[in-house]
Amino acid sequence: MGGDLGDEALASGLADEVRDLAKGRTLRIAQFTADGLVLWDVRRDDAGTPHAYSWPALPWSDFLDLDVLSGPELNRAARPGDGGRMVLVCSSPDHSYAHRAYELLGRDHGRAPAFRYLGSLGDLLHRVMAASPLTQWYELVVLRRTPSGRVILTGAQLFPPGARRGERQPFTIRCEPGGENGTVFAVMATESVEEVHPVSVKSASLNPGVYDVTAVLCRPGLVRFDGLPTRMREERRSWAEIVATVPTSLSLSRSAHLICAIEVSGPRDLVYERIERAKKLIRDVNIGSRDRLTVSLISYGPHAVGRMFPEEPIRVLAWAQGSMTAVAALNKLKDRVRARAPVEPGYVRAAQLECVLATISEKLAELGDQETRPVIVTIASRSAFPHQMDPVSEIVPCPDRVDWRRVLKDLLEHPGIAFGLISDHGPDEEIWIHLSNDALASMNDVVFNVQHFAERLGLLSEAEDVPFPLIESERS
Amino acid sequence: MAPTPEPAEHSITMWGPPATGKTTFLAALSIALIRHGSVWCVNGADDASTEKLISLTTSLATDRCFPPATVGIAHYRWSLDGKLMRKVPRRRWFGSRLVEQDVRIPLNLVDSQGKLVGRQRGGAQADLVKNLNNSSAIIFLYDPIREFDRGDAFDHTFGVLKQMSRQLEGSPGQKLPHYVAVCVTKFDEIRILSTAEKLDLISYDPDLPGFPRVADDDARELFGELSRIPHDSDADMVLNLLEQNFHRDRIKYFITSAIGFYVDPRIGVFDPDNYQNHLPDPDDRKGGQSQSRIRGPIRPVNVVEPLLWLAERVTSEPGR
Repeated sequence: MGGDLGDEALASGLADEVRDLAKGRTLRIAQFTADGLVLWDVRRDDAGTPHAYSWPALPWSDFLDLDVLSGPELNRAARPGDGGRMVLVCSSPDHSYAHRAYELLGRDHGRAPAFRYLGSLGDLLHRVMAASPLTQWYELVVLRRTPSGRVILTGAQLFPPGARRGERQPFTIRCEPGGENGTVFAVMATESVEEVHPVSVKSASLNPGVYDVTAVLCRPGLVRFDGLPTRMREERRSWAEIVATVPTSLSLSRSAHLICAIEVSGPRDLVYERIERAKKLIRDVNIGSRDRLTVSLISYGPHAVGRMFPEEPIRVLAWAQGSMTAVAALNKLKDRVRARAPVEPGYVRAAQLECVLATISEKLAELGDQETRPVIVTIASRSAFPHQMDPVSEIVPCPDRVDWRRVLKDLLEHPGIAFGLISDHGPDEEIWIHLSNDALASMNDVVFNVQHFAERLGLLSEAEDVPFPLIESERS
Repeated sequence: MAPTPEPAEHSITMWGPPATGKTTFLAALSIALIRHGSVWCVNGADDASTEKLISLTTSLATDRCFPPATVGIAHYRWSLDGKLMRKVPRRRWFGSRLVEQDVRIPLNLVDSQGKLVGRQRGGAQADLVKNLNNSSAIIFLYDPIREFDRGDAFDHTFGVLKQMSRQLEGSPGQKLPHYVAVCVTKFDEIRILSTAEKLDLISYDPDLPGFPRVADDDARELFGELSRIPHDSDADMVLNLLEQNFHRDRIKYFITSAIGFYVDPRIGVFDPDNYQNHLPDPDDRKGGQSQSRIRGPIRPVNVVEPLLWLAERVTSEPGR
């Protein structure tokens, strides 16, 4: 019996055998060495990943019968129990017993591929298995937030059956604070909806934010994630423990556009305090949400009413900028307020809040960003100007007849929009009820609880951690 | 040539419950006469009265503030100076001829604090009654907005009228002889104009800025309606009280506004959706220092007309 010689022939033959190896079956490799018979078993685990197991060499002396190798004894030892395929590899053709045993088993298993190979069979087998194609879908376990805020555990497909080592799959994820255990990157192999098996479960401590990641298939059973700033570690918790930490709902699933409307009329100290509250809100939210937050700032005061009461016009200090730019704009605003009289003259009954809302509505339409959720925070005291004469309040109408109710209706068309109010009085008028719909804080509170206020607006996640990456539905 | 002073009994006295806008009405009168280009004007009879008139008028026109309630305003003396066509007798058999003459009608402003007038018969009330009885014409100011809030017009009117009747000691059933211009004030307020609109009593000036008006013939009806609105007051009796004490044909009703309506300078015409000229201070109702202001220029409505009506009446009458 001859047999193919060389790496290529054996590698190719083994690759075919491993490729065709069905789950639950065993590929038995009988290796004939100078030390004896070495048996290798290759089996797939539940995820379809092939694994090779070997036993210490069975010395030839165990198979001698009156100094002659016993074919039946060899057969009994080498034959796979489940009737699976066999491959014969002679690694010591110059050794008499090895050579003889190779010939005996070759005769008995005439359909078994037979090779002569002098190298390390273990190394070759690992290379073959690493290069073998996937037999199941590989998916990354992610969370998806439904429009109602419910969180669904689902999978983002990475590699299909047939994918081989070196294939790459780019995707984008958002990571929320994962707590002390970090964010779990779990790769699952799926045969069907019911048959899901873990391939690898690792975790990484990541800052909250959006990450462009590329999954690289290193080999069956091993996926590497490029694009993450930190190294991954093996996850020690059980799968059940990890899944138990998934929140049932999640308030934030999209980038937020925080729009602060700050009334700068009234006593200077009060205006300072409004500016400081805006600054604290922006800073704290920025720390908690990083690069998913954009900020806009608008200052305003009353309309001109007659020649006695000058206008404090609407000023867009920043629009869709980063947090630090917004904080710098607030500092400039404070300087401007410092330079003016302690009490700014102006119509004391109202401020042009209705026109501020109209400005926001127009600028959001120009921005045309449907991905980002607007969050409007009003920091103010004075009510809006009515769009027509109001015999009850007797506040004069807005010179441009802007109807804040109509503007608000337009703003509510933005999916996920939220409204917060920081004021020195309660929501005692209709407009304040609308503008404090999601969160209300009082200027009279000595301590401004930003965490609570921002959580209500969905700007900061609630205390519970989010163990898996989030993926938007349209990206999944 | 100095105008011929009318006899003291031809004077016109401005009267009304406290804080009904008598001082504002006087200040607005000067502005209204200037805006009208009238031959009539208001003058002070002495330096102090002239200074006061200047201060009241500039406060309203320039500062756009309402004059503060003034204690002792009755001590000032003003006059309405102008020209009237009067019949001058010719020689026997030649009848009379019309001659334009300068006239000066004393104009009194009777202003009293609420405590002094009404039920209590103190010295101030005696002065007020004497002053009214010495006049032949009265401008009676009725503020429906104040009546909504305070409801004391009847209280302030009833006692004074009874005292006037008592002093004149006429025969039983005899009415007071005065001409009375009843001026319903604050026509510029939303609640007043909207009431007039609901009663379909509004017409509009053909001239710019096209302010709304209530014809004098309809003014009594509006006064009646307005006085019935405050359910918790006796205001509905004020109209009957006046007509019971004065000759019906000597009373004329006017719907007036001292400050007039606001006109947006960008539009230049009366805007039914934006005419509010009074910027009220919410603290007014809490009794605090009023910060009420006036939004735009003063354009008095029906302020000159009652004066001229009275002037014609009193100067055509022989002295009492």
